[in-house]
Amino acid sequence: MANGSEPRRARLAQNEVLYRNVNDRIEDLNQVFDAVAAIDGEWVCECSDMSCATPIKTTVAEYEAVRANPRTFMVAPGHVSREVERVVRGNSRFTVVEKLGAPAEVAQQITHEQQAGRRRLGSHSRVCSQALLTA
Amino acid sequence: MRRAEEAREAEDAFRAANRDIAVVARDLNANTLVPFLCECSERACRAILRMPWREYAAIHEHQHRYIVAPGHELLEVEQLVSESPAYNVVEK
Repeated sequence: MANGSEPRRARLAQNEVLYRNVNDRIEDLNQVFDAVAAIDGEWVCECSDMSCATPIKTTVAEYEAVRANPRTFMVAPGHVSREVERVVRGNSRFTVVEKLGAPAEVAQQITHEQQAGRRRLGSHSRVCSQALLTA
Repeated sequence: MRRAEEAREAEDAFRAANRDIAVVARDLNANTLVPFLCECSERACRAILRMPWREYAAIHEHQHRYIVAPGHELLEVEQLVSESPAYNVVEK
């Protein structure tokens, strides 16, 4: 029998990927508005609670270090979902967690698909995104 | 004038970011409330607004409409179209 909690775990992973996606866009914005947050940026907690939008302050380098691994996410202290992730490291501002098992695969797959999609869209992403939304 | 241009630039950048977020949510077939960014004129704003991606797409079909957190409207240059506890819609 399949593990009945797998769909739930996949959903938790998807939630975190959605917030990671927001943080990726925030990183883009920080680059566009380079006067704001070029050194210290404010991102949002990437925990699996969809109602959470706890702000997290990190440097761009800290964010990119977490982002470099598709299985690791940045959450506010105390926001760890131990059923789907383990703590990698942390400090007073944020905790880095790594997805485990199927949720890790979901997170990795979604991240790869996102990256592939963004590469396909390339410099025309804005126009294509508009077309996709209205399709 | 310069301030108005900067405000418009910020709103357009937020709007473009939200378009990408909506596309990813659509590709994931997300049936939850999706986190979007406030599209107000304040560059430092990072307020999160949650709604189904289809709802965002419907608003976004109107080229001059933006979603903002309640209280983030700039009523000198935009008109309030709709209000809700979660977000407001303004039109340039």
